[in-house]
Amino acid sequence: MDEAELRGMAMAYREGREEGLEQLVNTLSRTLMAMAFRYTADWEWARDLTQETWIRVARNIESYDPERSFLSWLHGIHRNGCIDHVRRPWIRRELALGEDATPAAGEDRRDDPLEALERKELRRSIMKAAGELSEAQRAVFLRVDVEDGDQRAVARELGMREGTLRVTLHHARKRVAAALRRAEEGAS
Amino acid sequence: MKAVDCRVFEDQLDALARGELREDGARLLRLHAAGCPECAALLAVKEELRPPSLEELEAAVPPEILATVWPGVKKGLDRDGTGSATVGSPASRPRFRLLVPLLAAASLLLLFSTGLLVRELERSRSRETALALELEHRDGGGTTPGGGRSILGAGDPLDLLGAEGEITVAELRALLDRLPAGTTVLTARQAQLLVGALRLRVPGVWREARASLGEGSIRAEELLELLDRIDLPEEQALPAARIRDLLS
Repeated sequence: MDEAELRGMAMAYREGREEGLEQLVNTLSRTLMAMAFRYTADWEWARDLTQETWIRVARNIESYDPERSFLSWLHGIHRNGCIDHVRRPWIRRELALGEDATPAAGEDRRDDPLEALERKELRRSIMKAAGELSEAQRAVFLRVDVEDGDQRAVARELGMREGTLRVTLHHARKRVAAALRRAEEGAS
Repeated sequence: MKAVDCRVFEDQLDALARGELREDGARLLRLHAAGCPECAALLAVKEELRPPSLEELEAAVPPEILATVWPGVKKGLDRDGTGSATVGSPASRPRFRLLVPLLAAASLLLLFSTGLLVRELERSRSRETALALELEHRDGGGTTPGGGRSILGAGDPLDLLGAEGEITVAELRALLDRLPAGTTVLTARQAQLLVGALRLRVPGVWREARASLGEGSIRAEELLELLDRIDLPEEQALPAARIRDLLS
């Protein structure tokens, strides 16, 4: 579906027709859930974050500028929601407590359940550590390493020089890796 | 020497994790990681986070969960009156963004906790009445059965329901404060119902409630903590009719 159609749905909702929003939700939620899953590794969490994003969209539809890309606007809102999710202290606590999560898409192919469990624990430790980074470090780390974003594009998006981004990313990775090592040492 | 190796390793880390390096180059880097715990940890992070493509993830979205997105959004919008874009001005929405979910959470919380508290207090009053009758029987007088004195403190806490039949958050706090530490106010089943109801009605709150309340029964101090966490207005009231429904 192209931008013009999406914009048309958004404008229909803005004019008071609910079906505009319903069409957007039904068209784009699969992608939003896939994006959120990268942060949560849990489909129910991904669904909750996606719902929160749509509710934010509905509440702020008046501020959408139809001259700009609807998808960019939507993804910006969604990404902020995902980053907030990692930052919430009670999320970190729950991750640390080890709530069962749906296996990641790639994990279904692994035969060894012990290995899958270890990887799940590893991912939880990483996300917990990411939640404790500084704001700039977290933004860079999540966009580059979690979303697999291109460093140059991320630097442009964040209004950062590439050199600054590399240094910030270096420190973020070091802190996450150190937290991971501490977690492993604590577990052994 | 090690510092140079580590810098080269990090420079090549993305390419290594993506499998874009030639075999001999990748082997050298992995050899370095084998002897360097810091770089090994960096590699572990990078390899773990190497995401499946968005297309792969989109294909893996469980259809039964995807199907619940719109009903949940609709319910959320109906609840706070944002069902259509014409309701409320954009400037006014953020101020009240959390109000409706919080009030919904408050009502649920008060319904459950007040119902059980009132039952507990009625049991206490029955015990007190029985004791008073026994004393009266032994001593030929004394405490008036059913008089306005509670074992929990001055005044009968049931009176807090008041003539108007409402109890506020502040009054609920007072009730909870008067209970002895460790008093169970919600059974495990009631706690499950509470968390389940929060999940359906207030998506943003139920996970916190679950993390805070755990799986077992709920003690007075835990409920107080949850009240603090949700940060309800002290004057928030619950209609007595609903409480009586619970008790009947």
